[in-house]
Amino acid sequence: MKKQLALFGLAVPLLAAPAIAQVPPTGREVMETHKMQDRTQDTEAEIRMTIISARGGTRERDIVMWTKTRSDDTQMQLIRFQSPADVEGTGFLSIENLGREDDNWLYLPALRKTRRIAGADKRDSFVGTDFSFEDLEPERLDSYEYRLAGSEIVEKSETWVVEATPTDPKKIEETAYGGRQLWIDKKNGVMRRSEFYGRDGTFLKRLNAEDVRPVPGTDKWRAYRLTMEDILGGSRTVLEISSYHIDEGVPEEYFTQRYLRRR
Amino acid sequence: MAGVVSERFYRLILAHPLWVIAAIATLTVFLGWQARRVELNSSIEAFFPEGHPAVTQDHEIKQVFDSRELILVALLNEDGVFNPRTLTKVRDLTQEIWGLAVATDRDAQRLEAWADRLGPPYQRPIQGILEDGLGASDRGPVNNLWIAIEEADIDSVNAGFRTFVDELRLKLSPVSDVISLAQVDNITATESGLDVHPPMSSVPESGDELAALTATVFENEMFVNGLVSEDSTGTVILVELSFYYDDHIDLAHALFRELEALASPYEGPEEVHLAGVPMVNVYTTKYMGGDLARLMPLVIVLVIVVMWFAFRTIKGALIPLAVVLVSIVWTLGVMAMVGRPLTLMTSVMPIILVAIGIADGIHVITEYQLKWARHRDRDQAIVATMRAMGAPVIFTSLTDMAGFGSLAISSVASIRDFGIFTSVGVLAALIFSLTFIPAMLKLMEPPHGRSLVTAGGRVTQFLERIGQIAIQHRRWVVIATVAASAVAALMLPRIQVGSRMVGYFKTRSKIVQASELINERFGGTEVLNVVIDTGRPDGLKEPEVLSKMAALQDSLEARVLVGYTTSLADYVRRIHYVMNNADPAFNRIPFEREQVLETDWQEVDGMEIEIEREVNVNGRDLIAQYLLLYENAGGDDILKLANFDYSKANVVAQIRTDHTPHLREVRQTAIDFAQREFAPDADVSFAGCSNLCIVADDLIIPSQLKSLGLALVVIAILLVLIFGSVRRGLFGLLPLVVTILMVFALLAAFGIFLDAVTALIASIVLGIGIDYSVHFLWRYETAHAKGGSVDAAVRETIVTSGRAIVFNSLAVATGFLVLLVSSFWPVIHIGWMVAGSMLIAAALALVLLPALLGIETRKAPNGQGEVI
Repeated sequence: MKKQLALFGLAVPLLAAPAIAQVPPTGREVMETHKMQDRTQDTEAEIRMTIISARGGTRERDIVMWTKTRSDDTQMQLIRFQSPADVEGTGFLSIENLGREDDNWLYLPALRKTRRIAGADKRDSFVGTDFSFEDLEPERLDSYEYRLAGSEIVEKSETWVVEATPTDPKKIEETAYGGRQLWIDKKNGVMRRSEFYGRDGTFLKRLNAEDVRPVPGTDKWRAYRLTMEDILGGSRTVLEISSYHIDEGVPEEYFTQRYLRRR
Repeated sequence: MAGVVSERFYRLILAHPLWVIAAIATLTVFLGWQARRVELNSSIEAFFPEGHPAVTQDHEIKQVFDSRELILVALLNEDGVFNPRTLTKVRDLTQEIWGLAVATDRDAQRLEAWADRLGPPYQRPIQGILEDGLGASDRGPVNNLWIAIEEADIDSVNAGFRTFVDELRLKLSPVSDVISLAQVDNITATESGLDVHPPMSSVPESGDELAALTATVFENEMFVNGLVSEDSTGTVILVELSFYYDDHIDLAHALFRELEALASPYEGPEEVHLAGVPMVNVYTTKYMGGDLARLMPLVIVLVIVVMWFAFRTIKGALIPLAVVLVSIVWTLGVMAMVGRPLTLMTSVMPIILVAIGIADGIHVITEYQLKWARHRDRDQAIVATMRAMGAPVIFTSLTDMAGFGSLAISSVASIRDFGIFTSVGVLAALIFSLTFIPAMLKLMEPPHGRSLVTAGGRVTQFLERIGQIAIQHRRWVVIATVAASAVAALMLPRIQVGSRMVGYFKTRSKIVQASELINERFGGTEVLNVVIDTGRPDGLKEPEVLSKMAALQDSLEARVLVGYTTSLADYVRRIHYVMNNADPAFNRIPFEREQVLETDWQEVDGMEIEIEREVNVNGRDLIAQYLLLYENAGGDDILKLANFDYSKANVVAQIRTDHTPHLREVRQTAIDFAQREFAPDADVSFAGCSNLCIVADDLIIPSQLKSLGLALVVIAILLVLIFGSVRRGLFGLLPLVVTILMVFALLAAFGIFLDAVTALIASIVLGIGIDYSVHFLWRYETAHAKGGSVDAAVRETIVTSGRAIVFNSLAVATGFLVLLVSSFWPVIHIGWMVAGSMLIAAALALVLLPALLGIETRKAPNGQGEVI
């Protein structure tokens, strides 16, 4: 795996702009700017998911996703389906716990019931899309080793290219990836692209972030369109975010079973 | 018409015998070199012509549901499989099968050669791949190489390299899915909630754990008969190929060798068996190769023996033998060059070419012995022989080619190949007989003085008697023939059509045992896919559709031979059951309207209390939400049962037999059900090996009748042209028409099913048997033209041509009897039935033709039998 990434790295001219006598940042430093950009107290996002199969069939789903980060950096997340009509109101609630299994609940409106569900495997597909649960998690800087591999232009933006290799034993066990290559916008720390490699070095998926702009009323930049491609399988999933609401104070009670049950 | 091939032609050959032999030897070496590439293929697809709708539809359906052929690996343990040792084997086998790769050193060398050839862009990754040999650990890098090729500009990549890398990917991961107790979606409700996980994530050790696993497995009815046998003495690992067998036969065989090698250390006390359609194909191919290797030498030895009895000289035997061997080599060479495979049908062809080719040789050598005795000059004897025999040899070859060539219109590809390539072989034998034989005779010592006519005194006497009797009792001969034909015709409706795959094996080979055991204990080795197309997205989420699918499964399972069925309905029922706390009342598809208990909070006197009330909910929403839930829980097994937009469902039925009449009944059950319940809202179509077998059967009868009809017409026309008389032409045909009636009567009488292989018998008999009529009538014309009575001409014909016919039919019958040692039942049937029919055809030629000629003469006004 390392060999593979190193090989990719060679294609990138190291230390691209020595004209300005500036010391380039380390991989970790780049990721810290990303983390700064990414971190919020809470976020509400309205998302249209379009799943396009390799044979061209499409499925569209609209969801709203609320996340809240607690002081210990653990997350609570509520996802509610808006459409198609037959799954409207279906909800998934997950609460990350330090040191023990996460709690996951599901609400099926047609059954009028919440059910605890077994902790989803982080490698599993997120509601049938090409994203897995781990792809949507915030970056945990302490679980990876980051190496600056150069700089590149992505969609007219200058980016740092960073290679991320999992080092934390727990992470190594639960992740599907042997490594990732990340393109971080030099200007604002937004992730513009990532490529995911399997444990055996197979190039699995590519995520492209487009339509990156500031979220009105905040100092945060966000991609309003994310496309995940399954390289070998040929399917892809497009997430179009119609709105982000950042740090507007998502109530704590959203992340309760009782709220989950309320449609 | 005697000078069909001119004397100058033979003189030319006799002037340059060595050149002729050298030219033929060169051509033979070239075609022989091609022939080594000829492929053996026994898949059902090989039956069908390219682009047949049934095959196209089958491939489309397989693509929609991303399904390919399955191999079943069964672990059997009479003391039950739920013990740590057997379960460890299940887990380890599952893992090892996942890790299978069949790349060889040769692939590594080829990859290295590509790296050298292509240079920088691919050199480095290829070096990385080859660093520690080529194996499963290189899947990632090879996939990346593939992605790099795919993403590169199409013109910039060498097409050969692209194909090579694509194939290499398959070699490194020949298996696309492995399903076993250690790896299957089990939907359960646990204390922590709803879960989709394999029932056995780790091998249980304590008694409690084992009991818990047993309970888990048997609690889910989707596993019983599918993954474990009802009596728990067996469990199955399903291995899905990552390619279609038909597209990569070599790769498939490499994989099966590896699988067998991998499985064998797991034997004892557990039995490990491999079955499934691809395995049957592999074994069929293997036994076909074995048959050829065994039958060919045997038939050659037999022919030499028969020829020796006929000519009392080894040299005399060698020339006809050379004819047939060369015609076989040429035919196989041509097959390889046009890329057609040897199938169960065409594998019989070499034996038939021996039987036919030998005839030309026998007739020529017989004649040469006679002519030598008269002329005592080599060149003169050869030219005289060829002038006398050239015409009948050409005519019989033409009628043979008409008989077999008419199969070229068959809609069954392998029958078509059989017809075309047998004709090619006959043509090769003809060319060879007309060139090589005179050249060889020129170079060889002439035969010893012992003349043939005196050598067979008793045979001659016997034949003369027969001729006399036939002419004297001609009316009775005709009446008896008509009566026998009438009886035979009455039997025709009793002929049954049906074919098998595993059931074709005579021997109790491993695959037969494995298939029987698996059919006994599990759902069955044959698969029928019933595809239900609702024609509208999300159609499958309607409770009514799913309920009908479940009912369809019930009606299929009501048939004894259907051991297991599965569909999307099973998954929905299972989730409904699990989500309702495993209450048996909910082990069903949700209704259109379901009553559920809603819990809510209400403020009563400033206090919040939980209240419950019954509400009506929509069953369709429930199903949609269940499926979303299943997807979200990481389940992906339903991808093989429903298409992406939930408009089409795949109902899979496993059947415990491979006999098409039974498969047809199962399919009919589905058709009847669909007409009753689904029409006109949903379309039902079929796929899977079972369906292809049924469709192949349907092709046989009409196309065989058409071919046979065509052959009869063409041969009749040929005979009329050859003999310049309609009546003679029909005379010649008559013995064969009667013989073919007898063939079908025998099929009916012995309860032999008409299938693609046994359907060939009539054509073979017609093609070979017509020679007897041609030789007989030709000789009769010649004898009669010399003047003299009909009786004298018949007598002369019967002692010369009749003699050759007797020896020829004996030689052909003996040749075909060799097929009795084949490993396949239909081939064995061909063997004895053709052998028997040849004798019938010969007897009819010797008895019926004189009788007919006799009747014809008596009716002619001048009593001299002048024909029209």
